[in-house]
Amino acid sequence: MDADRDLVKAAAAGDRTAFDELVRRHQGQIVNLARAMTASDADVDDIAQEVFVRVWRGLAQFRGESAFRTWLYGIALNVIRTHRGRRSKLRRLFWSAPADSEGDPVEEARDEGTGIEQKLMLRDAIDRALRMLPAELRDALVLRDVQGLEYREISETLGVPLGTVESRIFRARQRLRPLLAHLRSSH
Amino acid sequence: MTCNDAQPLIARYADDETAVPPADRDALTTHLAECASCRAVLDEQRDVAVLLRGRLETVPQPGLVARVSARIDREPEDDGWLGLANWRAWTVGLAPVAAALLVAAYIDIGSVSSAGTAETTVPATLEEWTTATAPAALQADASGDALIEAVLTGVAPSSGDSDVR
Repeated sequence: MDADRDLVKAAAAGDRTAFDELVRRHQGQIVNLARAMTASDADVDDIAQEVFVRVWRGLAQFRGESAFRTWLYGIALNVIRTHRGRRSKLRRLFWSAPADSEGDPVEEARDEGTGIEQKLMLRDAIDRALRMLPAELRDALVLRDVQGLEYREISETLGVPLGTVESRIFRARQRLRPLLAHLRSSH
Repeated sequence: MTCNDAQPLIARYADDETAVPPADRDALTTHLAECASCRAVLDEQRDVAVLLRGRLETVPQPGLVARVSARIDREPEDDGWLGLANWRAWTVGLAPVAAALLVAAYIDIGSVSSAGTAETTVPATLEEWTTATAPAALQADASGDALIEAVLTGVAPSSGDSDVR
């Protein structure tokens, strides 16, 4: 049974307190997803806000055929894709430098630092390596290994068969592995 | 089971062996016992999964709930900055204006191309045509309000409102 069902029902009827609780419950997941997908802290909060605003506006149309979280993730992925497309167009129009011109993320993460600093650098390296994957592979892999969704839930969120999810996750890990090789050897 | 059959199952097997259907699991287990290459692939899959799962979680900045609430109150039906990227909304909104322009052009183009003569085979230049057929809302000196009204109503002012030069 969907743990959010009662809150969703109340929020769909206009209960802002119930909606605020839904945001509180899921904000961490959405922020984490946005960060992993964009490898940037700059727009994460704005993306998260946009996701929940769209959820609020769409609640009346949510029929409950899937779990609320599945529906929420679907909206989040759409918002993130729109954001990526917009950033990519801006980059093509105004900047000549390639998107990942900040340097080798893996090399930077090998530097020693304090515990939390090293973890932050490691996260940054992972997220930047994820950005190098094709979008459809990255989406499946992030939902599985970063967000912890089950395969069936990923299949429903992405709207693709279970076998496709398995294939994408497999290929994504195989492609990511050489990009993270230095990280694995130093951690 | 061949390596090609095994590999699509390996990702899920790496995460949770029991999640693979029993018949497939038995075949995969047998194959892995015999195939060092696929065993290496299984280890690679697990390595990447472990690294990603150890990734430090990003936490929300304090006050996100309040910011969402304020944004809902501030922008009840607005898509925000992401709406600018929604070219479909713009296309649908401007389609009636485009249609009106085509009709106005069809009506006016004859008077422009035959200015001063009963019959002519010389078409108007693009500048002459654009200037003569553009409704007042789209003239160079049109006000912003006129343009917005044209978009919102989907109706361009009649050709009688334009300045035919």
